[in-house]
Formats: sequence, structure tokens, C-alpha cells
Amino acid sequence: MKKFIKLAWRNIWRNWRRTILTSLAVAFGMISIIFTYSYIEGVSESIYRTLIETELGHVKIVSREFLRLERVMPREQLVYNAQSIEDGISSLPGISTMTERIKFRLILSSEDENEPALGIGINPEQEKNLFDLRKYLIQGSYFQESPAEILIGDGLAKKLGVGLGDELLAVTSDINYSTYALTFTVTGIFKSGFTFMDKNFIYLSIEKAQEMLDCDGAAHEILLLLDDAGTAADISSEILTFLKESGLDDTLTAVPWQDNFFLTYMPLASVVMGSILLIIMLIAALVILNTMLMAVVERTHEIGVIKSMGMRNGGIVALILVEATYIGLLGVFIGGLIGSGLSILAQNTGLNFTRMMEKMEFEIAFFSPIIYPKFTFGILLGAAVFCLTTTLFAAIYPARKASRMEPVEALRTSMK
Amino acid sequence: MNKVALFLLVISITLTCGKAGEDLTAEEILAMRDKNMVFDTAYSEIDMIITIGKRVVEKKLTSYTEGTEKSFIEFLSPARDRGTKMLKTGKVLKIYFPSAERVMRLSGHMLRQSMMGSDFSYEDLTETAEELRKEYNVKLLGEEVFAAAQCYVLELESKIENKTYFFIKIWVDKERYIGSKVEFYAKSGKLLKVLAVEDIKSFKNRYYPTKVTMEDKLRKNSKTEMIIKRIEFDILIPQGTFTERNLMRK
Repeated sequence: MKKFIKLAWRNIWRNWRRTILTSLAVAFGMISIIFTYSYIEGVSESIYRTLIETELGHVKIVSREFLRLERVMPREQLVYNAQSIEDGISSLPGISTMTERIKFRLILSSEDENEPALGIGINPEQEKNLFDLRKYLIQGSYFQESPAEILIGDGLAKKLGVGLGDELLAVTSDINYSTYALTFTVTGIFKSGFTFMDKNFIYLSIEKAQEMLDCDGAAHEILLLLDDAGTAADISSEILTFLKESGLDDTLTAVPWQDNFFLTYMPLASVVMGSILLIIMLIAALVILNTMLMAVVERTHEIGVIKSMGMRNGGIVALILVEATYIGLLGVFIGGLIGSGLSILAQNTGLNFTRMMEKMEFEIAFFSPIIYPKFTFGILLGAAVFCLTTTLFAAIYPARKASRMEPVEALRTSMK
Repeated sequence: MNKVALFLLVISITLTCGKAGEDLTAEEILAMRDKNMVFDTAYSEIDMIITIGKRVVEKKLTSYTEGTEKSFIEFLSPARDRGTKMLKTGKVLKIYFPSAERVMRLSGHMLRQSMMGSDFSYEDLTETAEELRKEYNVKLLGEEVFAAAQCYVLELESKIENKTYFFIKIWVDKERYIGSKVEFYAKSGKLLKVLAVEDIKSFKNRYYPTKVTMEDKLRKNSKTEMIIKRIEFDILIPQGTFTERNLMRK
């Protein structure tokens, strides 16, 4: 075996151009697999994180009707005793943050424009722990003391023609179908990158939202953030028990983030993304296969020579496989280095699709236009195993074919 | 002499009625209906009853109207709506909110929003008969019995692409020329709203619907009844009623 290792090493450098070319094919496979995989991981992580921050929390306490008619947002479907529920469940272990939200449609009116908008009433202090708007503020500041402050999406601000310090009239229909209006001052403008959010959302203090809807002390949702996202289902069922004991479970419910409609489709999305990965792997495999095949076929004459000098069939197969291993390892090394490097670079800077995504508006913020690929060592290892196996597999067939040739036939191929 | 005059009168009435009954074109039917709905001035007191599922909300309002262009509405109850006033001049609607002490000016697509939580949109209340005739092509579909009255069925098709109601179907009472039922459709043919007249009263020189129900089919189990408790036609409207100053008057 030792002589094969030495001979193979010498062989691959005899025609170093071919060797480099072949290992570059393997490297190409490595790079595309690592990058695609990291990207897919990044996308799904972004979806989970965004949905949890903007919609779900880890656990959401909400009226069953509000949940059922989420898109309509029936404003009168409230959690009326939000504070007492929070007090009641605060002793449960593993809850790190509890915060309330009110969501309602309204009309905003500036000096010269009117626009429909979505108002989110929040508890500014608690909300920071869940969805931290501060990192998206491009002008102004987060909620200070004055109650009549609003933060507005940059797209909406543009539509209304307002800037910092401008006054806006907000009009809505309250829970008793009365029309109520208040004036607010724009104190911050945010750009989250979620086009729908930036074009439609305003954030205001929950007290003002309650005043507008005429529902003191109530909220549409109580969102919990847990120390461990994995315990969401357990905590939800404990909260349900608490709601049952308080006689509130016929109207209210607690939902773990995993139950979200979109997230239940994530396995399907994984299949789709898995197929994309599979196609990339297939292309990588074909490139490796093709290049390896050429590399062996090119050497038919040479194989004829060593065969006529007395090397056995098995020996030839072994020799070619060792050579393929060298080439494969070289490619895996180069590709692994470049692929991981690129992925880690993209992971830190983010891939910005803002321009492309501007035309796409999803009602729910879950598709961030800036994707941060997520590279793991597992991805590198998986890609390496796959590319190496493919390289060896690609070498077996031509190696066996070459070894079975009559030396005379093999020698003749070069005469062409 | 008197007898002759009376005879002639009877003949002429019969003739005109006969003509009215047989040969009216779709446009003429619509014009006859509009004649009932158009007046110089009017003052009315209205109860608006909004029913959504099991919930019923009642609102009281008063309204001054002059011609088809101007109207002024003030809400009297419930408490949170009290003092909300609307001034319509032409295609522009201004609403005053006492809680914010501000006036909002609505026009264009914003008029499609629900008016004060009801099944009516601002647009439903501001669109005039004239605009209807200008912006739609009218076709007489035939006759049908609706609410025990023989009716003409008219179909209106918008001449403009992006009209909220692309098709409108009106059942016009053959005797009183009141649109007893109106169906509003989107361009896709989807039924958006249904307006039904439930009570018609006779006044000095016209018939006028005093109870109408609007159902917004896009809202579930929802309807809004407008009951005119009192209406006076051709009254003298106080000077300055249709002004922004009146809107902001406390």
C-alpha cells in the first residue's frame, strides 16, 4: 500500500494542471454546498426570530376569537385583566419577559394627507426585550416620557409627508364602534426593512392605545419571552391550567410559538429548501464526476503502459483511488476554506436584498430583506464528507474500466 | 266648462301615466327616482342602528342638506361620538373630532372607509344622483316584484375603471319611483353591499324612504339601519351652516 501512496502522490504532481483543475471542481462543490446550506439555515433562523419578535413571543396569551380572526383584528376581542393574569403566572419558572400589545387599524391624518395604518400599542420598557425597535430607529428617539409620542415607519412617514416633531391626527373606531381621535407627535422614524411594517405601522404607548379604543387595562396580546424557547409548550399548558382555574379559559388561550400557522409549514419549507440544496449537491457531484472521468480517461495510455509492465487490475484501481483521495482532500481543503470564509463573512455583514424585496409586501414581517447566513462546523463536515465520497465514487467507475482494458488496446488509444 | 276641463285633465293624466308606464327608458326611470331624492333643502333627525353579530349600537344624528352638494351632520350620541361633526361640500368631506379638537379632511379613496363604524362608507353618503348618472351607463333589465311592489330592474355599469362599485343593480318601485333595493357589486361580480328600503313615507310633493338598511357583505353578520325620525323639506337653513367655523363650534 505504501508504494501506492508514494506513487499516487508523484502521479498527481506529474500533471499538476490537471490535478489543480480537478481539485478546483471539488472545491467548487464544497463552496456552493457550504454557502447554500449556511444561507438556508440563515433564512430559517431569520424567519423564526422575526416571527417570534414581531408576532408570537415564545408564548402568547390571547382571546380565542382574536386568534381565530387574526387578520381582521376584531378590536373588541381583548384580554381584559392583563395585569392580574400577569401577576397570576409570574411565579411560573423560566419566564424572562412579559409584555402587552394592542393592535388596531386607524387613519392617520397629516396637514395634507390621510393614510390608513396599523397601530401597535406597546409597553415601551418591556417591549425592548422582545422586539427592540431602537435598533431600527433612523431618526429621533425611543419613547421618552410624554404620552403622546409615536414612532412611525419611514415609508408611512413619507406617504404622510411628516417628519420628526410633526403632529398627526389619529382616528379609529373604538370597541363600541364610536369614532375617536387623538393627536400625536412624531418622535421617531424607524426602518426595519420589512416593507409592510415600514409602510403601515406606528407604535404608540399602550395607555394611549387603550384610550383610543376605550378599553382601560386591556390588551389584545400578552407576549412572553422565555429563558428557553424549547419550554414554550410546557409553559403554555401551565398557563392554560391557570386560565382554567380562573375561569377564563373559555375566552382566552395560551399559544406556544411552535403552533403558529406559518411555522407549522416550516417543515414543508425545509423540504423545498432541502431540494434546492439537493440540486446544488447534484450539480457539484456532476462537476466532480465529469472532471474525474476526464482525468482518468486521459490517462488510458499511461494505464496501458503500467499494465504491460505487470501491474495487476486491483493495483490500478487502488492507485487511481488513492490519487482521487489526494485530489478530493485538496479540493475539500481549498473549498472548505473559501466556502467557510465566504459564509462567515456574509454572516457578519449580511446579504442585503432590500432593493429586491421592496416590491414584495408580506402582511406579516417574517422575511427579513437582510439575510445573515448561519455557518456551522457541521455544515463544513457534511459538505466535506459528501464531496470526498462523490470524488471517490466518480473515480471508481473509470478506474475499473481502465484496469480491465487489454494493455494493447490501452496503448493504442494514444496513437489517435 | 268645468266638466270639460276636468275631462281634459283626466285624459291628459291618463295619457301621461300610460306613457310613463310603458315607454320609459332606463335613463328616464333613474331620473324619476332622482326627482324624489333631490330637494332644495332638508333638515332631518336620524337614528343609526348598527348591528354586528349580537352587538347593537345606536347613534343619533341630525343633518342639514342643501341641494346635492352640501350637507352638515352632527352626532348627538353615544357619549364618545357626541360632538363629532361632518361637513360635505362637493366631493370633499371634513370631519371634526371633539376629543382631538381637530378637523380631518377626507377625499378620494379615503372616502371608502366605514362611516362612524357603520355599514355605510363616507362615499355611500357623499355620492350624488347626478354623479351616478354621469359615471354609469344605465340599462333596463326588466321588471320584478320586490317587497310586494312591481319594480323596474336597472343595471348600472361604471364608465370608469377603478370605481368601488363597478356594477349597481337598482330595483325602482314602479309607482312611487323609489329605489327599493340596491345591490352594489365589484368588477369581479362580487356582491359588496345591499341597501334595502324598508319604509317609504309620502310627503307634500314626493315619496321619501324613511327607513333603509345597508349590509356590508364584506363584514360578517353586519347591518346598519338608518331611520329618519323626522324630516322637513325646503326649510330655511341658518346662515353659515355649511362652513368650517360651524364645524369647530363647540
